[in-house]
Amino acid sequence: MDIQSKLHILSAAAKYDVSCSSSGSNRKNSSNGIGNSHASGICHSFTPDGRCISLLKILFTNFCIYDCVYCVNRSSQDVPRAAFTVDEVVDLTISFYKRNYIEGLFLSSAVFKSPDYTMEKILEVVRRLRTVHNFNGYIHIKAIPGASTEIIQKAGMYVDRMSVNIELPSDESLRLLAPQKNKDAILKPMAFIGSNIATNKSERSKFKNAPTFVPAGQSTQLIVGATADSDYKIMSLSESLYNRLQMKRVYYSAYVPVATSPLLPSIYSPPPLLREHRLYQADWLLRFYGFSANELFNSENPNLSLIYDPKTDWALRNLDKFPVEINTANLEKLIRIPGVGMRSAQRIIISRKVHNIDFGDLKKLGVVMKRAQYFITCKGKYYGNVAFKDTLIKYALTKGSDVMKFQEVQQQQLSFLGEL
Amino acid sequence: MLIYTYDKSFDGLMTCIYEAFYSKLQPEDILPKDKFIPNLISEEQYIFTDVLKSQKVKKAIQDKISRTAFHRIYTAHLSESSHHEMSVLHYLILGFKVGKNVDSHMHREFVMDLVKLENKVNLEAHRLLGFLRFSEVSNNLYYSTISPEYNVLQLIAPHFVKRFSNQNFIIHDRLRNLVCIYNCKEFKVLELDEQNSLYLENLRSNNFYEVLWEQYFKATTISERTNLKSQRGHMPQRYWNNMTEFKNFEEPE
Repeated sequence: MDIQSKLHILSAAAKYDVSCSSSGSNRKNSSNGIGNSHASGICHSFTPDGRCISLLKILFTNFCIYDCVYCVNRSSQDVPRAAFTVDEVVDLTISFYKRNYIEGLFLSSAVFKSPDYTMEKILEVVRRLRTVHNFNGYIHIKAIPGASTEIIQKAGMYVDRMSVNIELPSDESLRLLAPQKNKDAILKPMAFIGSNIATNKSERSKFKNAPTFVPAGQSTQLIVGATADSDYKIMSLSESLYNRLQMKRVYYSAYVPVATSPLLPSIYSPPPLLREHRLYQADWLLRFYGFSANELFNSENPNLSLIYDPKTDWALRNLDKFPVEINTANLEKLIRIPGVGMRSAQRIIISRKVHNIDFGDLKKLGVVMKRAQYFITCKGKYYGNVAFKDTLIKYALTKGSDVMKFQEVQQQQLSFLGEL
Repeated sequence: MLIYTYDKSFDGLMTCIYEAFYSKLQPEDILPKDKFIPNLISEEQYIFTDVLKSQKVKKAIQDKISRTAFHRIYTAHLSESSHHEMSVLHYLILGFKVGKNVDSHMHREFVMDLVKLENKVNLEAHRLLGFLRFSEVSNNLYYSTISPEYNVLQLIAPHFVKRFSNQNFIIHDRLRNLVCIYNCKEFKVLELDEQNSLYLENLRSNNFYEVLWEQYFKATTISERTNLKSQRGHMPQRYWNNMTEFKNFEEPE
């Protein structure tokens, strides 16, 4: 099989993995080497689905011994199969990198022969890139569940990020859709990588030249909409991953129906894109805005509102904490106001040192007044265009909400699918 | 109405600032020479670029206001946007009064103007770090064309020098006819004449990896999630002309 067909098959098979980030590492170029990484990450292109291409995202092979119901590469599926050689992956990565197509490599794989055998192949690719070609670009690899910790440890010394995908957020869902996998096989390598990252960090703080281990941290992915798991369950899992395993990032992937099974949503159901969007918004609130999952959800509201974004929804349920006075509130309070982001909150704090902020200034500072106006006072005065009452505010906020925008996009997709 | 005109360069603008501070009559506007249209009520005064005066102003900004402020002005100037000059003048008048606190005055229009221009220029530069495409025109010589909205060539060049330190490359800004040339030792930003520019543009050759890249771009799209608006939001179409993957791109409808 020629390299063109292989690239076609193995990139199409890898595309459902949503992780795209190339940030968090600042590996420098060496004197005879090629490449470096950029701390904030760089997007190199955007495909017609609006997702970014940052890394060359491919599978080493899509021959698989597992038969997970939700997966496009499951062993019972009739799809063309292919496998790269180590040299082919190395050559593609270097050649694409030199033309500035990509920021680095994201190598994943179906499980071929055995977890150890697959992991060895991945290790060989990254070892050759780093030591033979002196490649200093970004590398993200998958740790294959079930592979031995020695191989994972070795590979970790070469790469910037490693990830293990949880995919299904509960034990029941796993038993239902991926009966050959179990929770422990997934969590074990995660915990191993997490503790090694922690040890490595403390080593590097003591010894300047200590080798790095997964410096950009580990990430994982959860599928949304393939099973009945609630948003509350998903976000609680994310929260404990962030707090206990020092996870850098959890990705959420709206399930795209790739298989017919009585256990799965129908093949014609569109991916739940708005729900995915809301989960990312909630994820940001957890990581950067000081929220906890228990604040965003309770047993009566186990799912995120589709009409309001999670912060607005939280604010509407906690109107007793509002309105907030812009000129005196501290940063923690400011960033909890719907329509105020981290950047505009910082601008408010900087500029109120020299000037009392009035309502007209806020728009200039980048605050989204459409939402913020109902939750703030400036110099003691409330400026919302309806009275401070939850039913009135709710009604005013419903107009022009995201639900309408997403319906438009979905229309576009349906007509696109119809023409195929 | 007094109007300063200058040669578009940063040193030119700095000289204008110097003159404005040391003359009794403040200018009502500062414009590049080629943008000035003579009329009845305005009186033009051309300011000759004086490197010594410019140096004095630059040093004063860094010492008496802050390096951040200097960087902000420089970056905003690269936007080449009309009327940024007066914002710079007002910003500096305030800056020399209140020192490094000038950036707290974000409620003032001219401060926010410069902040916004700086953000725009930095965004353009950051986007090009990703969207710029090289093609290998001969052995270990890589060539790229860009048509950026703002004059960001000198902002992005150091990034590529660090990243591709063992690669000879040329980055060609087609709109301004500027090139950045790197020969594995040092880089230079030069102006280019018409003839050389045409020669460079004809250098490009099709290549095995370019076809592979186009193919990868297609294969990695999830058609069930098509969202062209989002694609264009992240990567406006004005970049597409210079990008390998869009040479034979057909839009899904």
